[in-house]
Amino acid sequence: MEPLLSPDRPKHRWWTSEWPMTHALEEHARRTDPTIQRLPLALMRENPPLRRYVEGFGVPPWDVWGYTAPADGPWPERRLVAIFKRHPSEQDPAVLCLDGPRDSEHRFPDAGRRRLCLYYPDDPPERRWHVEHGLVRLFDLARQHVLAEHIARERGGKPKDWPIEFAEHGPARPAASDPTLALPVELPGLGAGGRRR
Amino acid sequence: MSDKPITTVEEAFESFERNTARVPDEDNADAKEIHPKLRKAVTDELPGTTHFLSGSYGRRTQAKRLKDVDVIVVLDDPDGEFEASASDTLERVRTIVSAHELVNYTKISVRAVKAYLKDYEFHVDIVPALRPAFGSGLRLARNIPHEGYDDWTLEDPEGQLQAAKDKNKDTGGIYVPGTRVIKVWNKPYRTVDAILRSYHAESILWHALSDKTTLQEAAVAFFDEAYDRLAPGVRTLVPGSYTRYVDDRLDDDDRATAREKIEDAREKAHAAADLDDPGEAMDAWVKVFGASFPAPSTNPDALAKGLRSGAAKAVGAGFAMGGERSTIKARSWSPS
Repeated sequence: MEPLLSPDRPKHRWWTSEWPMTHALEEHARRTDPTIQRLPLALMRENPPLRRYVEGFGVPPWDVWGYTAPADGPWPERRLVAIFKRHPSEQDPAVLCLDGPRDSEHRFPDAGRRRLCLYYPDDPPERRWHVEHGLVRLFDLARQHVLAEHIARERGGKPKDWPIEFAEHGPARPAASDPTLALPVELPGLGAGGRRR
Repeated sequence: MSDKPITTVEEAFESFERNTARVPDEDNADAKEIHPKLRKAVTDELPGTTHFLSGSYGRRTQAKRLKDVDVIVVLDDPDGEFEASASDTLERVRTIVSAHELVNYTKISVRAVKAYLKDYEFHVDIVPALRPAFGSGLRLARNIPHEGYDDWTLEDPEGQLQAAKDKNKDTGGIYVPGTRVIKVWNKPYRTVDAILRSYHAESILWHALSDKTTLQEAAVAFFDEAYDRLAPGVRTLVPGSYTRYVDDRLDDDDRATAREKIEDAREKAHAAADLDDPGEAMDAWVKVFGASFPAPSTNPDALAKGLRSGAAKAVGAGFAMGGERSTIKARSWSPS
């Protein structure tokens, strides 16, 4: 179907009624980590894998809301992209790493294995990102993930080489609830603090 | 980890240049496959042309990733057809390039036809040029319709290439990799503005170096030179030229802003270079170049332990021991 005529467009354009939220997210990011930037249309057009991923949504690219930020490490460049296909209270953002090796098992099979499995979706809230954490913590989580991938790869790539906690593959048992792990929220006005759905 | 252990600051610079500043081999391999095809398409349609690689790709001074490949195409213009209009010439080249199967879309800029590719993120800039009737240099298109320019201006891209080659030889092979290192400082990420225009930074380093040197010495020399050359009223000549300045369009406010940032980096660079202990010096260079610079605080083995214990935290766009921001205690997962 012609993207302009897609009936899914309003769902992708959730952000048109959430300007206070996106403004709060961006203001917080600007103060804390100015390397975070709203996802430019040019990047969606010029990066072939990202272009194909976004084309798969079936809507015009300007309907798609997202952010991009770099990850520093012993590599030339790692660009991270967080795409909010739906309102963040309804669906976790998809976080992609556009550059570098894609051999890690801690990735989703779509997007040419560029989408990172940052956390187990059924883990308790203190072990997942939610919108009150702000964009910086989302990208920090992704930066930690690509650093962990690098370390694991250099060590040999076995499961034991993964340097941070991980859930077993597939349908895993959720981690035990441990509220002491919860970080103080950065943007308390943005949500219920817990889980959507 | 993959590299041999780093024991000196210069080895840290070499590792930083090799692993972070240098364009990945696969990007260069892609470029080597693509640009000859577009060059051939243009020369097939416009017989008698010659062409060569130019710009930072030609000088091998692009940093971190390949952004564009500049190809100068010197047109054969016996009847003055191209001479008559730079914009018409660019349109003609655009028609040829747009028809190529590799090309997704094209744009015309002041001097070039920019060919954006279907399967690669870098673009190829085809820059038409005319050989002047007398003297050296090349006349490049100047297509600025809203300012009334549709002509050709004398530039010296061949001289710039030669100046870079000569400087690299004179400095014992340090100028080219040193430029890449400085460019990482100048614009560490795509999402932030560059402090200086890329070729301005490159030109300052060109003027800062004269003899055999090291990467660390080159970095310190750059910041000293940049601080002097950004002073009010001072200008920087294009490498190899005695008449043209690289920064004659930089306004005073931007010059002052850049100089403040350079002054800050210069102080940090001198502080790092003055340290005797290599580990402490490397950590001090992290303050200039960010968490990609190899140092005890950014060592992947130390970070692996620190991530588990919580001693490694996020700082800037990376992670370091003793960083600033705590991270969610997430468990990475694999869906299958």
